[in-house]
Amino acid sequence: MTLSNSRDEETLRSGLALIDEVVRAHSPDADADADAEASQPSVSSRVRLTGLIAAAAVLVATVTAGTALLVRGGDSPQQASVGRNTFSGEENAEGQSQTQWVACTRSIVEGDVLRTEVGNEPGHLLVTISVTKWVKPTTGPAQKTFDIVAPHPLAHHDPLAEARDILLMVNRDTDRPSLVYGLAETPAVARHVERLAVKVTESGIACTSE
Amino acid sequence: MPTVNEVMPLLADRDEVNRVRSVLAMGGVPWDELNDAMQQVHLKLLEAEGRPGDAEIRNPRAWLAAVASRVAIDWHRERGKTMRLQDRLTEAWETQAGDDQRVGHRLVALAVAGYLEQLDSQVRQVVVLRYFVDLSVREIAAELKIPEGTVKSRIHGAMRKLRAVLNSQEVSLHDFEQ
Repeated sequence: MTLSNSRDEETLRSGLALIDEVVRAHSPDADADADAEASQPSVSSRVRLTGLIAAAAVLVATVTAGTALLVRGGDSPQQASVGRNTFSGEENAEGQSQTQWVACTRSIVEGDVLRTEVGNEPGHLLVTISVTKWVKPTTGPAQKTFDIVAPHPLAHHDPLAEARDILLMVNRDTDRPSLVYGLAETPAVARHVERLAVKVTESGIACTSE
Repeated sequence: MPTVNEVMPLLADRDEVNRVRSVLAMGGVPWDELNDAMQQVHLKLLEAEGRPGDAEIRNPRAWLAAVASRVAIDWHRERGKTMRLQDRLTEAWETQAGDDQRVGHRLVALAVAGYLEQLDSQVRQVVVLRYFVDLSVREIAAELKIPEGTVKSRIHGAMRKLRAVLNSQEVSLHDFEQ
């Protein structure tokens, strides 16, 4: 049987759509939707922000179970190994741009969120962190308040809402969002950024994109 | 002109993130490594942030899908292994009942999954971007930085192969429609 091109295309689209359906059924959302009502995360240590309420309201419902799924995946030895292999190309062109990005980052810290408040400028947050590790610069106070442009929340978890074990990267541009990752959920990103920061510091690499 | 800053909000959109995950899976990333692959997508954003001079993004959704398709190709190249898409689909459906039409659609999806796995990774990339993400030939060419003629040629070859696969398996979507 010879099918017309359009029929073949329709069949292909239909098959891909069904594959998509199955992938979605196995996404962090799937568990999150089932478990969200029973286990909303504690946000007692976080002052809810008017600017973030809308986004957080959507995300909070998905955070806990989604995070649990991500943590299971992220902690496996296999995934840790994958992370090391995948993110080790600092010397190629892409790596150089990553190094430059880190060089142009004002501060990078790991720690727990003690408090978030609305900043003085629209879209800004004052985030107080109990710093467990200063990545860039390599030293600093144990507790520090950063004035940042609110990071974009992530679909499957909101590290600021969870308030602990975060990696905060403060953008040098005061009008551009900072980045925040949960260390448990995105360990490979955190490890990679730390390696780049060490390289930037030890090699004295300067930000050249200003 | 959009910049990387306009791509980041897409990662707050569950539907968009799920679509990216599907692009990764269709591109051959094993499903149990999708979370790691998503981190790689994040790093690609950082790379683009580090190149403000050429971070020109015409269509943020197309750009994100193209990034995911590249991550999938790299995943293949670096690991040389694939968790067969067909196996995962079979596993997902083995406990689910369905009427004839539903079962028929699943057969189509299994045939398409097997077909994807037979394709060269670059052809597979174009097929996913064209028929799943629904990008135009021009958009695919722009995102992958290849000539439109190359995209058309890959699609042409891919469709010829698809027809052969569907014919050999006697599978057609229309066999299961009312």
